[in-house]
Amino acid sequence: MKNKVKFTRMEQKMTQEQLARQVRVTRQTIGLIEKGEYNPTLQLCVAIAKALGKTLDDLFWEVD
Amino acid sequence: MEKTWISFLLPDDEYKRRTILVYFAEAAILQLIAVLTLIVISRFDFIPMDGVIVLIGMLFGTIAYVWIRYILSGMEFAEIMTAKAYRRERKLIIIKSTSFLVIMCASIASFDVFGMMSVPLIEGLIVSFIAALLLFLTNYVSLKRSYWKNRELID
Repeated sequence: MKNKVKFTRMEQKMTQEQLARQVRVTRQTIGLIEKGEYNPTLQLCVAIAKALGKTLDDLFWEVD
Repeated sequence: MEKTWISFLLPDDEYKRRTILVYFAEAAILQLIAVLTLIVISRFDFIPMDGVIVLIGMLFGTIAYVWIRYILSGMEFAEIMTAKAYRRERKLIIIKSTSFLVIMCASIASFDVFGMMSVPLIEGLIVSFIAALLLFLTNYVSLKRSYWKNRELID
């Protein structure tokens, strides 16, 4: 699943490690989500959105 | 988090938890296929089967399947991203395996001295060596796979 997690995280100068710690997953999980190789649960999507101060639409909604 | 009574077997990390659940499910399906095959085979007298050996084989087969899938998945060492961290972890694995070998050999030798061993000393030492080697190899392969996987994910 394509998403804007990496872009938003880098925009906020946050490291993968910091985001991982905030949402209580491993850095590998964050890396997989950013590369679109793992589809997180809605619960984790919400946690990531809150940590980055964005909405689910901002991060995970695909616009053609 | 999934509501299941096997939660105590699952890690906290979401990706690991869901992937391990898939491995458990695959192992259960394979076990089901094995049971069905054995039922069919037992109807005919193709192969003489000892019930206990079959059960032990299925038990170890199931555990080995989940274990091997986990090792090869590269998710055990989820935080090993850099060459420095990889080298440090590899050193730790060598120390852990060597310590395990030394402790096992010392325990077996002391059991032998006090006459508590029912098998020859050399057999005990060989088993210790194989166990330590297995411990090292599984950890090393898991570390290497994790490092390769993580390298692709680093920002």
